[in-house]
Amino acid sequence: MKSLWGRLQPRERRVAAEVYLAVAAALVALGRLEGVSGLVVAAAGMLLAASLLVVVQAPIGTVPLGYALVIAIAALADIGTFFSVLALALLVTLPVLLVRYGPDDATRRMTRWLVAACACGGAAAGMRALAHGTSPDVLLLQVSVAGAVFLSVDLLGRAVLPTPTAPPMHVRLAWPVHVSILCAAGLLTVAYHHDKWMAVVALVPLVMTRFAFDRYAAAQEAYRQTIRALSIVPEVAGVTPLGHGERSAVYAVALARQLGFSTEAIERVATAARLHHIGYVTLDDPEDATTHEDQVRLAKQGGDILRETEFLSEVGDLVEGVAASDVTSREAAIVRIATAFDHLVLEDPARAVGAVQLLKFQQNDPYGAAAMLVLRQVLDEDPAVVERAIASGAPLTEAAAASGAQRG
Amino acid sequence: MRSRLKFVVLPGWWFEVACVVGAAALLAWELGSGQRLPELVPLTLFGALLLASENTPILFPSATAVSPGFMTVMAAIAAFDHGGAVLGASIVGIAGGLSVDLIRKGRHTTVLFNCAQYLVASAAAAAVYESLGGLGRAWAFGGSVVVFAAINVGAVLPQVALNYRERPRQVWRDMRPALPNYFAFGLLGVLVGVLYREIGAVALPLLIIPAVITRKVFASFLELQEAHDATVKVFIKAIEAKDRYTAGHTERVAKYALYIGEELRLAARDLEHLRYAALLHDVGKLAVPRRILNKPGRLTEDEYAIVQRHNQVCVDILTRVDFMRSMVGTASDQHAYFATGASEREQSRLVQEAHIVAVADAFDAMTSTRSYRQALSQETAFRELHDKAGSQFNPRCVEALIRAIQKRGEHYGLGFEEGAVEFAVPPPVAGVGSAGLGDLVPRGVAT
Repeated sequence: MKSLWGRLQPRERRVAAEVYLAVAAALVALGRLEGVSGLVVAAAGMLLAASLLVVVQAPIGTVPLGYALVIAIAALADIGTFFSVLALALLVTLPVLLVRYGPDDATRRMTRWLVAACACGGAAAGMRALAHGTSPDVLLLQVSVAGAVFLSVDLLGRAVLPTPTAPPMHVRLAWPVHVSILCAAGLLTVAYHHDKWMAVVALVPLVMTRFAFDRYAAAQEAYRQTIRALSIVPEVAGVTPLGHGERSAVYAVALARQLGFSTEAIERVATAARLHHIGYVTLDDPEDATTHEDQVRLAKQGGDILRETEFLSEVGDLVEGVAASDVTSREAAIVRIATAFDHLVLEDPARAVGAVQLLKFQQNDPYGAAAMLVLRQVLDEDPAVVERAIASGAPLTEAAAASGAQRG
Repeated sequence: MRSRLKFVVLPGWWFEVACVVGAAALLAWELGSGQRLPELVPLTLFGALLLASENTPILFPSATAVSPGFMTVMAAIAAFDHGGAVLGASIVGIAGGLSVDLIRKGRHTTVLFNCAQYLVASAAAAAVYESLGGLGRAWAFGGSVVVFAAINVGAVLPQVALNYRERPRQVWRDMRPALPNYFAFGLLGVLVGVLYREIGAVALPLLIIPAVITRKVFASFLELQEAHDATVKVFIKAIEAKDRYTAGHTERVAKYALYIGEELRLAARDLEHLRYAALLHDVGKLAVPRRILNKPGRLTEDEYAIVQRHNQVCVDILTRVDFMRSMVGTASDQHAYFATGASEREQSRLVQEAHIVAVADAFDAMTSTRSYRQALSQETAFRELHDKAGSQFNPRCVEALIRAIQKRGEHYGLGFEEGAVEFAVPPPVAGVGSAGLGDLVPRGVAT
């Protein structure tokens, strides 16, 4: 018979291990702070360091699990103990961060944590001075303020000191993680105040939240990979240039961001740009698609394929709309401009300027003209977008070059 | 227009009614024995919480549904610890059975039964919590969890077995994995109850907010997985539209691959990965001209060269794209490709996945009617797999597939084909080979 441990999925085992870690952290860091000794501070610092290295996956970016512990310790311990534990934790964390992210990224993260923790410790001390007492409701007020300050300064730090290896944090998407961290810190603090052993239990909701976000992030990545994998089928078949889907997606996302599209709309145009040639998989011979009518027909077939699944039906409409004579939406116009621009530039950044001139005379519809204007703005403000797009398609083109594969 | 009340009665109705009568008697006794009733506000609050939590279970990715209902019961018990815990827990417990879904389905006796079993289990847990309190909180907690779980299982197991005519052992096997959750959720419930007693309702959002967020994220996860499945299925349809003679092939290969994976005791996550890889293993067909894919009979040298070139281009390109590496593994025997950037564990997983899909693919190719030959019998296919085990196929995978099919008592191949494609000209009994990538089984795959 398999043990309970053996029945767990690998990710669940990891989460279970983290629960034990969190339990140990809570016990040592919170259970002994009252009678502070060097040894206890050392143990608390080590465990805080470990929890800072375990992250919760937000929809974009990550948040360390240890944030909850930092906030709780700031609310529970006196300022001297708090900074002793913090300093030790950061010292222990630094080498791991250096190995994991490199010196530049590690320094930025460290600075951000330090500043946020200092602000948090200061806020907790200030609250203790303003609201006297150790009753649970006073503690809850203190931890709420200290936590809000910590997370706000951390977010500000992400904007001021962005880390090269992490995507920018979007508050609109990441707030559930922040709220969960804040609730865990609050629960941890009041639970510890009541009974030190209860503090261990207080971490269960946070660990569950982390598990949920982790699984969601993994599923999101798998789905994106499938879409990307499928988008290169027409390219491998030789009906469209290698890397075209990925490059078009980069341009489409840049244009959509410039227009302030919502995250969902950005995802939609990126998927449509990747899959806009998917109808070509029905072709028996690339030579069968030479006229505009052929392209419209194939776009419709692509749209039909995608509309078979409810989740991609809007993308299907977009794919069909891209080839239509009259573009009827900003999203379709963006995908059309992005794909047309890539057809002209391909892998030569020097052709970008000429491509814009050519496109200028091809677009005479209002949506197209507006999208064209946005493309010029994007290229003016961020000319590196062309290199980024070419780099995104490079794995395919380099592979084809390496194998000496003939096209078609 | 008046809608008629829907009423569905299942075979175990008499057991459900008996439990309801017993629970009603218990409640009447509690009310009559002059037990103290807790305050109305917390009673309503915990009742509403239990109602909400039982109607919004958290679905875990491993298909386990975790209802945080017991957590609310324990919270109520801990909150009412200083008076009226038994009666309070009983009243709160009634809310645990009020499932909106069951009421809509007309399962009214089941709804009453659930209220009854929740009432009895909550009352017993509260009584134990109170009586063992003198020995320490840990004893009180442990005792109440065991009693609640025992009553819950003791009532639900026969009810499910009677209603759905299932063997009690099977029902127990389904219920057993959820038992550890009682301790985790129960502990959390005690914490919430104690905090409620100390700081009031302000303690509840600290737990409810993360629970709501977690539930929402899990729901989004399941939705995304559904989207992923739907997308993969659309492309399978596209493949089959191009190569209609292999209709149903990818789904069957995925099924056989999962049979093998389960026999080899792969983890749930690896099985999930294997399923996607098996479903997409023929995606390369989309890049091959239809006239070649659907050609009955042997390919000419030029046509074979086209297929090979496409295959090689696919392999060369896909191995350099990390997200496609496992699919390359399932479509070729070139294990060197796995070495590009994958960890040792990952490489081993990819190789195993390739071996599994190769066996599943070959078995389906042999037991399906193709344009160039009729389906072989299952025995012939097994013999062929056995003969090639060790040279062309991984022997463990071959044994696992044969064992899995025999264990299930299933039959495939000649005489047992489902949804076989109708051909204008019936294919010959014996064929010359393959005209599709699906039959190009890896060569030299051996361990």
